[in-house]
Amino acid sequence: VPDLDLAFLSKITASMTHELKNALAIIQESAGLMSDILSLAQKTPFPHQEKFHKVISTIDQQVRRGVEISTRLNRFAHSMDHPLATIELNHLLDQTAFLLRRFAQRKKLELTVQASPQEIMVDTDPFRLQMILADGIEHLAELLEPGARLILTARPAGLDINIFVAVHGDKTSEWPGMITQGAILEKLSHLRPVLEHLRGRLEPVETPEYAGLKVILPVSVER
Amino acid sequence: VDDEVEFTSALAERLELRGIQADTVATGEEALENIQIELPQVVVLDVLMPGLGGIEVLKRLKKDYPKLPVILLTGRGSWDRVQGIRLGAYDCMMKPIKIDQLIQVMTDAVNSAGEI
Repeated sequence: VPDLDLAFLSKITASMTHELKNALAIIQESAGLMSDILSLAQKTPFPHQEKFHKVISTIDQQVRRGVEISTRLNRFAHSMDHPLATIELNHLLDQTAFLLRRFAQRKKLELTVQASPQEIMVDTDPFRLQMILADGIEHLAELLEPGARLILTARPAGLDINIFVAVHGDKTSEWPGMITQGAILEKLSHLRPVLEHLRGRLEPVETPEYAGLKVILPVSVER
Repeated sequence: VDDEVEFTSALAERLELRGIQADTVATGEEALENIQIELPQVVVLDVLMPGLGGIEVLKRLKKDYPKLPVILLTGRGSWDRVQGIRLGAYDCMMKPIKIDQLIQVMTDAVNSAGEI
């Protein structure tokens, strides 16, 4: 059954993010023009001139922020386009971390990606993989204390790819048993059908340096 | 060439403040008409416009004025870039643009077309 609902969501979101970029482009050029005019008037100072420059600089920064958000949202929307696509995992992890950083910040956690030095290509459903990773991150975040460091990493492992969603640090003894003993998997049992769809599986992982979840995916699947 | 007239008018003013004469139009059709009257050194063309879209305008310009450099502007990303360059665009820039970068690309485009 084609994902008509996802296709619709993707189409509308992608279109709206495009519109948003047009609005941001107008704001940026208008602020740029104001800045140009102020520069022309530099020889004839007027009240609050510095304040104008400061406000324009703030507009410029926020336009950049808005562009980054709308670009990421656009990319997220397009991740729904194909239920099976060849993707580069370091990019997908970076995208996932960006989308979830606000959730992590709310819990005062650090969420980063330890990118693999080489490209890691995989055939998968990018939207549903992001969903699994996001759910894993959210469940781990619920168990962690403020200040904890969550790191996303992908590593090739023969015909599989391992994606680690794990808390790193030197206080392993303080990590909740829920994470170190793998009980968190029970909390994520609702993801089983999605993992089956991806021909993947979820395992707990624990080393002296990190503990959390490992998503195992085949490098390629039959199309 | 962009249907977002607030964008083109602010951009044109900024270019003019830097000594570059810029004419603006809001549709692909107007662009093709104006170019027949006066050939510019370079065209900066939005991809997504109502009516005649940027890609179609690019195709027609490349057919009638093969040496005229065209720079595409897009908010959509890599697909437009790949298609645009394949069809003969000099470059494809993502919106919002930085004016200094645009001027640099415009200058390079004009130089490569042998106009200067």
